[in-house]
Amino acid sequence: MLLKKVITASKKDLSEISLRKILYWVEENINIATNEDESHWMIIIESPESEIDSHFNKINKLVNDFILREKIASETEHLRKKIINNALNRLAVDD
Amino acid sequence: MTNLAKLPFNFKRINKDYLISNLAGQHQFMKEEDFIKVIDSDFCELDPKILASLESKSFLTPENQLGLREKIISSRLATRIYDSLSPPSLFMVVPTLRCDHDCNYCQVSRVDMDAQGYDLDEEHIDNIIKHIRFLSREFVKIEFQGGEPLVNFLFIKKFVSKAKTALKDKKLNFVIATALGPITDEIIKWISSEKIHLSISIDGIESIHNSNRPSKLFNSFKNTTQIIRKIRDSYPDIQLSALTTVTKLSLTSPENVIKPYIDLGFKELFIRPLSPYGFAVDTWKKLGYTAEEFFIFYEKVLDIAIDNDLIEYSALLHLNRIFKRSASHVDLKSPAGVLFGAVCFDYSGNIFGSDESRMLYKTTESKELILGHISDSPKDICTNENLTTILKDTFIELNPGCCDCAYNQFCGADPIYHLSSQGDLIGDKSKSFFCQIEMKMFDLIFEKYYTNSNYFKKFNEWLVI
Repeated sequence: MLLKKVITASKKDLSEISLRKILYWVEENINIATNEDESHWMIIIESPESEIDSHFNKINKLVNDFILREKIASETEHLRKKIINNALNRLAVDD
Repeated sequence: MTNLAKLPFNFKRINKDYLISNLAGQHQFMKEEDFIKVIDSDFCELDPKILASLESKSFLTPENQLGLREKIISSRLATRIYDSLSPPSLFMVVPTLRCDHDCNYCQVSRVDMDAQGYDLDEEHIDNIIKHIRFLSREFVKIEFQGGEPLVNFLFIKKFVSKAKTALKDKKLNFVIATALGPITDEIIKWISSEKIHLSISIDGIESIHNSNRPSKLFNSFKNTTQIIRKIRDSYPDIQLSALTTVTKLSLTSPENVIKPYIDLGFKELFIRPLSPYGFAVDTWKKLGYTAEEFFIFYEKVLDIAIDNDLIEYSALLHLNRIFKRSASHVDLKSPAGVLFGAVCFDYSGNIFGSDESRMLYKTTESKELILGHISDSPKDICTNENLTTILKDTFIELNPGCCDCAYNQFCGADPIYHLSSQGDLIGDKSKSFFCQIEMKMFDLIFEKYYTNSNYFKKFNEWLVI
């Protein structure tokens, strides 16, 4: 029997780009769909009963990880870009 | 206390712990509770030692030092990229594609012994040496690959003699990657006198080795082990190293894969998973496995190696990359190691940026993989348009799937692998066997190093060798 489970994440915590990154890492054999309302993303997982919890846990872990990444990026992303630009400029000068 | 600010970092959960890393190539292994304190900026709650470590490794900085820390990290990142782009030291020469083995996993790098037109002409030797002189710095390792390179022994002999004269100002090393089939007493004597290193293959006990590496002409296991014993007895000065290619059959018995290494007195071994080059789907089904299956096997092999004082070279390459920032392993380079990691002079006269490129060319005949011809001017190789095309998307800090990965400062892009397996130079990392293997390898190395005192001790011993 196929079961459905839904993971909901606030758009405040998770951007669209992070949602896309999560979908990138979802294994091919997991059947998912996405939906949204004004303030939330929804990832709908449909699987046989025996697999649903495992699939849910895997995707939930991805969601949590990307929420953490967003949290780090909100404080450091501008620095990351600056550091990479500085490094490449430095190489260009050395060249 | 001065206010602290976070600097950018990536993270990876390893069981219950976390590994964080940054663009300076630094890392910190931490408990989940400490990781959460960092995320929540509860720095005062951290143990002072952990706090000091995070500051010294540029994960955190006093706010008034932000500009300085940015410069330090940028400089370290630039050095890492620069190291990846430094001139190659490994030059592979393929004297012939003919081979006396019919290895199951080597379908594109060999032809039968009586095949015509698969030997590299001796007239190319001077030009190859010219390329090596132009492309190299002080250290030069010339590795003869095949086929079975010793089938064209006269080429090797002439090449070594000419290279020793023409490249006498370089620090030269020669390696012959051989299955030892055609070796004679005369050849062994010459190898000893010329101080040539032999790189051989042992895939396990007789049943495993001969199943993976059959020969129509002789019992490969018996021949290999007899010659190794002869060399050990009569020419102990000859350096011998061996590697194991893991097939589905090997997975069944890690003990029997490692047994010959112990019996033959090796001090190190090199375990490598199968490569996908030129494999038909049904061959992969017969010989292949998942990354999970490989790592169940690999972890057991590593345990046995540690218990028997053997160095496992694949783990050591990763340790060197993590702790010494070594850029010597072609697979673990970003930008990728194509040309800047190794150069391959094929029997056909074509020049490739890696051994894998020449194997892929054999099955696809994609001219985009060729960086030039032995008869071309050496400087044209470096400006070849194909090289730019292959390398331009191999800065993994910017690649999808890699940009968020905590291992991206230690890992590599390997565009040829992804071109071969997925038809795309960047590749979809969520489906990449290369990515699965590397991810698990780094997980294993970090976890063992930081949570197992025996491994911590052994890995540190390996790192100082």
